[in-house]
Amino acid sequence: MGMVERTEGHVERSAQGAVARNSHPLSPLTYCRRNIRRLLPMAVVIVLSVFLVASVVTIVDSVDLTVTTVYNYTRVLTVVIPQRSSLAIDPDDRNRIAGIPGVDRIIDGSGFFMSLNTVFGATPFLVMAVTDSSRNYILQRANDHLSAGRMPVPGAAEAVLSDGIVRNKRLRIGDVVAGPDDQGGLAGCPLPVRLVGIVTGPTWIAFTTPEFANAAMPLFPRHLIVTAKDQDALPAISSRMLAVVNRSKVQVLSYRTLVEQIRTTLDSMYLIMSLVNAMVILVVALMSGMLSNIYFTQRLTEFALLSAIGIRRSTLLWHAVSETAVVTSIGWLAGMIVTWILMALMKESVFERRGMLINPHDVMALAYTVPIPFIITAFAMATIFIRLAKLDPVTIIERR
Amino acid sequence: MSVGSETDASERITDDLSAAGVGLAYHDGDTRTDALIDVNVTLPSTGFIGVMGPSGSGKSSLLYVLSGLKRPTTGDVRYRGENLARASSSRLTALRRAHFGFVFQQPWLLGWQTAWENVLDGAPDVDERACERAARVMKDLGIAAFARKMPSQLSGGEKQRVCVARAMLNRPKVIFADEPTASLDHHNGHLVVDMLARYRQEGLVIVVTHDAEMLQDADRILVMRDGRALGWSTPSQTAGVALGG
Ligand SMILES: Nc1ncnc2c1ncn2[C@@H]1O[C@H](COP(=O)(O)OP(=O)(O)OP(=O)(O)O)[C@@H](O)[C@H]1O
Ligand SMILES: [Mg+2]
Repeated sequence: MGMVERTEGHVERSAQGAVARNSHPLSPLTYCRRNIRRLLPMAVVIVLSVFLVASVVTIVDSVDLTVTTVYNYTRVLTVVIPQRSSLAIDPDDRNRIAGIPGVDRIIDGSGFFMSLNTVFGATPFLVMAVTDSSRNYILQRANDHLSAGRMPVPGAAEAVLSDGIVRNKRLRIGDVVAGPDDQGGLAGCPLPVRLVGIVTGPTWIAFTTPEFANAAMPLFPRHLIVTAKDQDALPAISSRMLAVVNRSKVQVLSYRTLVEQIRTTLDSMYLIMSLVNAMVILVVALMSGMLSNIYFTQRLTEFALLSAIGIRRSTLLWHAVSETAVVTSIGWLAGMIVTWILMALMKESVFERRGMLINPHDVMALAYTVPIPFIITAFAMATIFIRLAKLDPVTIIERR
Repeated sequence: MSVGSETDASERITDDLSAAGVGLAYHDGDTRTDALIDVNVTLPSTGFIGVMGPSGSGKSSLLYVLSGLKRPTTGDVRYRGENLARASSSRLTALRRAHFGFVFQQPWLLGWQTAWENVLDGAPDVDERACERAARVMKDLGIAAFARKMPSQLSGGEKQRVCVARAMLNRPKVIFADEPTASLDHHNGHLVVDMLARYRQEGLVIVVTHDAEMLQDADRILVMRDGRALGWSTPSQTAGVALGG
């Protein structure tokens, strides 16, 4: 009785009647299908590592996603606010901004701040107080539209919010959006402001009326809302603004100053994530190298026999590597599916409750896991290559 | 026993496969074992040849050297004019596949393949011809009924017959069988040797065994002792002679 079939006897049932006349008996798919139980540990290791790497990337990306989502309005408009020394924009600065080519509209705004729950704590979010026509103009530029309730009545303590903000604050129509007892830095409003409508679309945005804002918060700094004729030119226009205004009197809140600055501070987090991922991939590759070494030892007699009856080492290597590739690919796929399902399940119950916007189908996460099957297959290939080079079929076949 | 004295008229002696001054030494640390010492044999291109000798006399070593599984330390092994002692290992592998068939003492089969698939492992291409040939060989050897069975469902004798079928699949010029009956009972042993013996018209069958009875039918028997080929014998001469092992 050869050792080969003693260790692999359990596969007998699955192979019953599987004698396709022309399928190659050494096909890697056949091997994997009939040795599922034996290959399971390797597959599980891959599933877990893919899940680990993908979920780390998804969670780290959620920080970035939160920043870009919360400040997505800066893609549509740039807000120019006075420095702390004054309550309004200097007319000279306003004129200089108006003189920049490509500027579409300069809208006078006031308003108040409400606070959002984000992964980096309570974050102030501007509730813009603009005229009806300006509001409609901004909504149209932002691709947003009213989807529930109504627009605020001029002068009333009312606001409309994007559905994302509504979910973030877990609000319903009629609930208080901001009030005198709000905590969180800049946020707050002397009167409780109620939610009367919800807007839907790609851009998070919030509006109240200037009649209300000016009456309730006369000291809130008056600011400018600047849009570009060509939306893609807004970053350049914002940079130009910084160059022309008196910076000791004016602050420019653009995509660049808000989002990119936060991103820079996230760099160290990305570095840590990359290190963690590299470590996971390295450990997994080493582990799977060891696993394929064990597999090879278990199948030593099989390879020795095939080598003795004249099957080339390169062919044997190719078979072993394809088998590993099949397992790693399936493991990777299963790992991605597990990650996507778990992340989707945790999205609302875990992450969004903590103000973390996550994309459960993060393509970046997918990209980070792609090296895993390749590195594992490469490790297995190296291991098997070395073992095959040293293989002397005679000594193994002689053993009894 | 005299060298080359026993030759059937029916037997073509050519120098298809021959060993000249072959020595094989194993090095195990500081100790050196001479498994073969100055072996000179010339084998016919067809027929049924036995190899006998006490345990450790170098029978297996001779088969390995003749079949290109090992390179001799000294001397030449010639197969159809090619010196196997100088051939590259990929050339030897190719020769083993295309020209030689192997049956080992243990009925080595791939446990995850059916008997049918194990037989086909010997084929360079799994095409219609290989499948037809596999079906024929398995039928001839009386194992067609086991085609779909896994090795773990077969007895030792049945497994060894599958091994014989695999060895015959490529119509090898030479079949090397190293104690193919050692793990089998008397009945199964005979069955396997009879199958091998039937191949004598198609090619050369070399069977190593301790059991003289298995070689009753052999054309000639090579007698080995202490790494040397002592000479040729016949089944009648060898019958009842205790060769040890
Ligand atoms: N791998 C090895 N390393 C060291 N010595 C070996 C090795 N293989 C065989 N030998 C030695 O070479 C000699 C011949 O061995 P071989 O296996 O050819 O004998 P054999 O006639 O086939 O014996 P048996 O009937 O027991 O199978 C023996 O003395 C054996 O101990
Ligand atoms: Mg032996």
